[in-house]
Amino acid sequence: MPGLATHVLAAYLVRGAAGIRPLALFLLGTMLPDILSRPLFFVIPGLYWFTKPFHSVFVAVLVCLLFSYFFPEEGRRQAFKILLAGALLHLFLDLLQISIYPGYRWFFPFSAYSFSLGLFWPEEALLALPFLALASLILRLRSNRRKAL
Amino acid sequence: MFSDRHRPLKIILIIVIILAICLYSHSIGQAETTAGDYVRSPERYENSRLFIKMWGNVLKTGHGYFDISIDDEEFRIYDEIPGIQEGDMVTGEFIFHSNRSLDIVRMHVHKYRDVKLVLSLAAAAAVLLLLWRTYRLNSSGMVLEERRCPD
Repeated sequence: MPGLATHVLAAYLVRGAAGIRPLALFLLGTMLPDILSRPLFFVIPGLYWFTKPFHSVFVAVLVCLLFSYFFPEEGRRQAFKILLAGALLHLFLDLLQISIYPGYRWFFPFSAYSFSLGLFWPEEALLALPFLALASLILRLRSNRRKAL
Repeated sequence: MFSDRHRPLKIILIIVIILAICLYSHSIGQAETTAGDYVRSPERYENSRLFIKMWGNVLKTGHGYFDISIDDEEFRIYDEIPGIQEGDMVTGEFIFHSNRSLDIVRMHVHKYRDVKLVLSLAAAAAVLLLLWRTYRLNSSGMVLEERRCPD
């Protein structure tokens, strides 16, 4: 993974361009694949394979559906869409990175098919952080100025 | 699908499906060969490819070699990688030899892991704070209601 900080800042920029609201929900969606898996298998490495499906498309849909049931009925469908958009953005960013084994298995455990674009190593995403942070700050300032006018 | 009708049942059903998928994934993972299998049957796996599935840790570095731990098993690699240090995390593909040494096919040293971890925790904390500012839990219905939209 490129790291949660990169995921969150990238999501912030995408949300700014796409006008997705509320921001908190979109950012939660973009964190879901990692926060549901990494803490578990960092603490208990034996759960690596147990947590692997959280980075697959099918389970991402189910998890977003599950979370959407904790929102009021009238906004549930919208909450689901926003959460899923965030989760899919996360998976898309993961798709860009290099992985030696087993690569990203997008439909695991139902298929071992793996595919990644292999553009950068996970830790190289840290190099993009200052630029993402700067772009986010500019976006925030522009948004505040527009609100003030 | 998004109605309140049978909501608790839907929640339980989704959790059961997710857990079933995770357990199935776990069972598939258990069937995969581990570094321990190579060590227990060295003749069988001589010259076979060994992949690091999660991560390996550099245990020791010396002149012309370094030791790594994969799945709690130690291996020696007779090679020099510039900048490699004890405690570094590595991933890679290797050729196994029965004397517990490995030849590198492809290997990558993941640097700045601690920095990444700290930044990830900070980002998670910031998003959780934003969520707390945006929603409050209606305890009667276990539903998150919007306080206001800070963005």
